[in-house]
Amino acid sequence: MHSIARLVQRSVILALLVGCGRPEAVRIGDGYPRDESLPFLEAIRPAVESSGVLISTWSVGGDPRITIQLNTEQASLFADDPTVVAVVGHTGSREALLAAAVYNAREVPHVVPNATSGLLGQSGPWTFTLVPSDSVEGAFIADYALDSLRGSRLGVLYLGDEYGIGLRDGVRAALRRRGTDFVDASMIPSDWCYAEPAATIHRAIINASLRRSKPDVVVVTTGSSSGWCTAELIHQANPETWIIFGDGMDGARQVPDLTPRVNPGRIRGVEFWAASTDSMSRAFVDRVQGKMKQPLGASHALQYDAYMLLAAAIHEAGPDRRAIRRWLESLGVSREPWQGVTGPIAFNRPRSEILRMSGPTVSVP
Amino acid sequence: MNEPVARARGSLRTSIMAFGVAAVVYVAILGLLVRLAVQPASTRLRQSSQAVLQEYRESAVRAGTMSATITSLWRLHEQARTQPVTLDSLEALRYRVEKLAETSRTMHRLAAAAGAASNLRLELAEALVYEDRLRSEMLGAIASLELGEYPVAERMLRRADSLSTPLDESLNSATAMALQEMTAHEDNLARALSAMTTVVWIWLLGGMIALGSLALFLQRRLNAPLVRLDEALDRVSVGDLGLQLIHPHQDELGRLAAQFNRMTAMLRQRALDDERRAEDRTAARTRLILDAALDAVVVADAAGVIKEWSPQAEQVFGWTRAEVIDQRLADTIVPHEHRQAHTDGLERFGRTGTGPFVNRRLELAALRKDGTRFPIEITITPLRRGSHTEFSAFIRDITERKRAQAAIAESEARYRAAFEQAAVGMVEVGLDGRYLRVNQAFAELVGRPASSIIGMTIAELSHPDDREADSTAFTRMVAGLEPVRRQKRYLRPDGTVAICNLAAALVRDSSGAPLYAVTVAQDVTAQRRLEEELRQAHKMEAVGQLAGGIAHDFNNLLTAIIGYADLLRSNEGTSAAIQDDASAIKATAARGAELARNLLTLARTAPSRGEPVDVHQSIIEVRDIAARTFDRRIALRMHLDAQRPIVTGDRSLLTNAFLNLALNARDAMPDGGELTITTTERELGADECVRLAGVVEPGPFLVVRVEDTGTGMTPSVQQRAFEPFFTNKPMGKGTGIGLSMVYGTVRSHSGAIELHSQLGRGTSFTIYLPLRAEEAEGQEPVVPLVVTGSGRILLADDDDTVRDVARRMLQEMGYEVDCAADGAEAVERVASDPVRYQLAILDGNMPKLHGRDAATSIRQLAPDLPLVLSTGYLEPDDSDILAGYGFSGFIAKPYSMSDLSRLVAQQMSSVK
Repeated sequence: MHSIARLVQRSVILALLVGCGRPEAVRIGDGYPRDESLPFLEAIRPAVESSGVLISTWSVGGDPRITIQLNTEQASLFADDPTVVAVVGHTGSREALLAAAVYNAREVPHVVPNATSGLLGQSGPWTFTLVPSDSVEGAFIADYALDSLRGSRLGVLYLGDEYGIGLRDGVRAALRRRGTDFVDASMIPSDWCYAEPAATIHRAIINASLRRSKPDVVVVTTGSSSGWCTAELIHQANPETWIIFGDGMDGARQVPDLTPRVNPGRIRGVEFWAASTDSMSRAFVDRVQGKMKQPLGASHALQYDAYMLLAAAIHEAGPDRRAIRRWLESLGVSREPWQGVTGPIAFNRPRSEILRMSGPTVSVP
Repeated sequence: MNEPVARARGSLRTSIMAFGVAAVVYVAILGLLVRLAVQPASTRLRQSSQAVLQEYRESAVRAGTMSATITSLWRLHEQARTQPVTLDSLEALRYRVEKLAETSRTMHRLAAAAGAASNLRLELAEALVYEDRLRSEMLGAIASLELGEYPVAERMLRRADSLSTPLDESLNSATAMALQEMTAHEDNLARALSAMTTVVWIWLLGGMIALGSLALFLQRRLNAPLVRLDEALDRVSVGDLGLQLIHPHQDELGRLAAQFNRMTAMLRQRALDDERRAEDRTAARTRLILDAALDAVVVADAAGVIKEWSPQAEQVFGWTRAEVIDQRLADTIVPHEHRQAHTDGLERFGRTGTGPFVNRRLELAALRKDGTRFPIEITITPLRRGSHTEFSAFIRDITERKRAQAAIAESEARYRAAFEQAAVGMVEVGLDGRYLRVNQAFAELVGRPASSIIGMTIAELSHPDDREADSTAFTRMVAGLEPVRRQKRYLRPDGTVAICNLAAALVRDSSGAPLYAVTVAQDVTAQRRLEEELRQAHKMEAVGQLAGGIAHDFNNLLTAIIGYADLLRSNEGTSAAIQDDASAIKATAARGAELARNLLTLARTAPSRGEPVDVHQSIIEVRDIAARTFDRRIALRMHLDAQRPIVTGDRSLLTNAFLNLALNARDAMPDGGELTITTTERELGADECVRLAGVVEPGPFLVVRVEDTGTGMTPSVQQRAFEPFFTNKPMGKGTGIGLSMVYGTVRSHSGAIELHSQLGRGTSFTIYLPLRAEEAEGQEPVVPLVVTGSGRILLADDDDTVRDVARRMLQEMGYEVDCAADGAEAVERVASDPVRYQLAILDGNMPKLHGRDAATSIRQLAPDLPLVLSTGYLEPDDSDILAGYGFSGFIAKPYSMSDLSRLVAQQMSSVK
């Protein structure tokens, strides 16, 4: 009877839509929890909505650690809402993968700004990623470690999630293509590493790994929650060890105060965008950073590009999910790439050109 | 009449289209309900079931792996108290734990989890949190053990232990929830199916009601009006134009009904107009018909009062129209004796509407004005005009026709009498070849009762060999190509054949179409028999003449042989051995003489001995020969019933004839059979003598029948059976003279012979021999005795050998002999001394002067001189004319010495 009730509900909505004509509000779903995204969202909302497209924000509440629950429910709500014609998000690879499963099942265009999991490319035709996959990023890191840092013993400390594991595999594949391999790969917990018992666990795992493999370059595929303490533990053992963060540290430009023992000169991080690269980026920074009252990272620029890209798609293709998908697929094929803050956007090839390496204290070599 | 009423407006087409659209929508909604309500529920249930199963399996595996890893770590921890832990063992455990992280986050699980219910997702998320923390503790413990920080490792392991229980509980709870969810899905599906079933049933019920409504609608709005229209059209087609259709709707059928009503109204008006015009035309036409009719036309009312009287009626009856109008028929043209019946008939018709004279063609008598009676042919037809009835009568004077019919009947009677009493056979044969009528002469001709012949076909009476020719001739005659003039044979039931000269011609009707054939059949059977007999006689005569010529020379030779043999035997100086040889020579020559006589029998020229012959003895002799020599498979049966089987004739010839018949029967039965010989006495009348080709005279006859059960003869063989030298036996088996000799023997005994044969059934020969008046006398054996004498004998024979042997035999007997080589010399010798000789023996056939002519001359020279004719060929009848030539006796060649001595002694004694 529940199904019948849903059927009746949908039928009523459909009847209303048909009977009342086209809805005036066309929305893009925001796939980021409200608390995290609200300042940035409010900062870019005028720009997005100036094209006549509204943003439907995150509405599901609950324990933010329960990723599955939150993301799948929110994705379902977006899919159920006929006014939502596309979605931007979600937070990371795991969340994006969860949501992609829903959107591909329900045929909702889904633009992922900054998740790199290679599994997203297999989610279905309704999911479009703005950043290169973890295999492309892994190859970029490996080339940088071998060529720029002259590293000979590469170790990997990775999170046991889709992002960490994917990037580990990407680095390994690139090393093997170049005839070598890393000397160690250890999984580290995803918990906040400045409190017990996680701190002890991190320390034990990292120390054991360093003692076991004595690396001169360590690739760290964590987010900001454990990245800097990991770096501190590495440099405690050997301050000369090179640390390369994955994109999860978003360039690792700001060294937190909690980690005074890190050696910033031996830290590098992958990022997809830098604020000073061109006039378009500078305009974006000028427009948004003031409202945010904090520096903007690559993830912001990618989210902004995602919204503006979909607004353009809705404008040109109309507020129809299938038409929007066809419009996105046509970029770089039958249509010129769309020019965003992070550069030209098309989905017919990886955007490897946006990959760059930065550091907190030194410029990119 | 009712005016059409329009109660509602509408279009049948629109209604039907609306029903069709409603039906399509109805079915589409039903299909949509199934598609939207049942199928997604089923899909979700399948996905949930797969997810739960996968989750359960992987959870169990991971829980087991983690539990085992913790146990291993505890063991390593204990081991580390006493000895260092190897890196390899720790590496293996670390790899296992890290692998667990990968396997717990496959895309498949995440996707499945995304489709699960929220509480299940919550539980799975919580389990993942526990799992992450437990995995972190284990990885930390492994690293601590590797670093040698055993107390730290112990704390981590204890925390891991403490986490494993809630992890297990969480996983179990998730699994239980998944099962519950699946159950809930199943319940949902079941409810959905139940609801859908109810909906479908209701839908179907609604559909059936809708269909019923549609059927009812169609019945009321479409079918019923159409049926009414169809019935109305039927009624209109039979002339009912007063019908008005009522249709309560102004749809297509309503408009059609209105059109129909308008049409019937028009037709009614038109019919009324037509009726009026037709009445006018009918009246005029009736007058014209009455005036122009060849028959007299009289119209009378139901009381028999004349209302119309045509000009032809005036001529027939002599009454003018003015005279008879409104007069009663009974007072004018109905004869007195029929007037009561006429009145009764009118009364009965008025009462019953029927009558024996109505609508029939009748022949009655009528009266003219002058009172004369004459025959008429009348047809009375009732005319119903509204409530009253009139009668029209078409009357024809048939006086002339009656006269013609009487003449035809008389002619027919004459023809019938001639037909029935004709001496020749007459038949009428239908065009199908069946006999329609036959007269008594024809019935006798074919040997059947006349009544049995009617209906039979020509072929059934015909001889089988004539059927094809009959058919051809009949077909040509019917086709009008030529009449039949031919001779044909009929096969009687007793197997005999009647031969007729046939003349047939077609009888045609007045239009020339053939009706039947009249055939005259003249019996020429006896004539044909006589012709056959004559032909046979001519053949036999020719053969006889041939045989006689041969026999003359042959007998001369035999005469010499027998004579010399007798001389040898009579010579006392001859040795006994030579005398025996001479006896053998004589016996052989005697058989040769018998053969010559048989040949002469063919021509009935053999001298009949005229002795009484007991035929039974001859038959018994034949039976004895047959019993000795025939195949034992041939049974011989004798029925010798004749009381006095004595005939006049030659016993040896008759025996030979019977023997030949027996041999013929034997040859016809190569595989055995029965040979039966019967004898009876019978008095033949004139008819039978005619049937036997007239070769015998009426009187008592001995009838000998020789029958076999052999192969029989074909008709063609039967026809030539008695022909000399004809045989159907294989080469060397028959000479062809056996049956010819039988024929000759019978004919030489003044008898007749009949042959009956059927192929495959057998053959019978019936011989008719005239009985001898007196009792048969015992035949005295001839004793070969040489009588001696004296005197001078003139011997004339052109054959030197015969002349020499005869001379020597006569000299042996004691006579003096002068010889002459031909007739002229003999005459010369007598002329030179007419009294010199006491006897002259003259050969019958000599050069220069024939024996008979020589005898005539000698008789003139010496009237008292006995003359003996010596010949090997003499017709029996010739004996009567021998005396005319002056012969007093004759001796047949070949003769023996004793025969010659007895004849010479007899002749010499007559002189004395």
